[in-house]
Amino acid sequence: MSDKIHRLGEALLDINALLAVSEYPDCGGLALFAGAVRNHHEGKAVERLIYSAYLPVCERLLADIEAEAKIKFGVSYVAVRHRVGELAIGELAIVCVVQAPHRAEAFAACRWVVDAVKHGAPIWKEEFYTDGSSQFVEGCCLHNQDEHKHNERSHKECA
Amino acid sequence: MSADKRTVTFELLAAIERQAGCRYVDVQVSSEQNTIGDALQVLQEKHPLLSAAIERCACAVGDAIVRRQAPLPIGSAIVLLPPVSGG
Repeated sequence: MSDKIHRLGEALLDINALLAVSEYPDCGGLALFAGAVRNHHEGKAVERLIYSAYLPVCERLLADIEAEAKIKFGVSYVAVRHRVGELAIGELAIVCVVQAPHRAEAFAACRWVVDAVKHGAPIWKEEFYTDGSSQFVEGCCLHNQDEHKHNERSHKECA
Repeated sequence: MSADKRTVTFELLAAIERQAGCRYVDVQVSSEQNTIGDALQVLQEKHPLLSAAIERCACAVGDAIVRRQAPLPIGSAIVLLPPVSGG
């Protein structure tokens, strides 16, 4: 990775720390997405969960996604962060902030970044249910993306 | 083990680590088995119960995701990345 920012960590995510409104006076639009831990999954009551990640690829990938979003959507500022470790219900797992001159590109870039992280970053969610059972949530296959990068099929599979 | 064999180490993460019951697995590959895909095939033959899960994994070496056709790394483990579920 090209900078020293840690985009993954065990600390609680701080939305305010990611806002950079005063630093970009040309930006009238700020889009924010925050994903929180739900208390249910496919009909089962979730008690807590643990996110793990393969950090060497993940840190580089999140930095690359931020940089790509700036170019692809022409936005000024992109910051995405993801929690790892044990999370309680209601805690934030992912936060993405995008600042742009206007709202349309801010919304579009924010959505694209979150999708790119969900579909491409080597992060795994292990859910622990109130009945005492647990499981890793089966998500997107990076192997398919490796052979057919970011194609429509792999995105549909991950929806 | 014959002289022309060498050891390849796999690092298993998340669901496949849980299924295997261990984080690291070594396999022996021959001098004709030069790619990531070749070593994966040896791993699947050694651990047939993991075969389907291995098929769904991407592979990483260091900070890069590598294709099945990539040459075997020297001195680094091949990290198996099962389907992801971040966000």
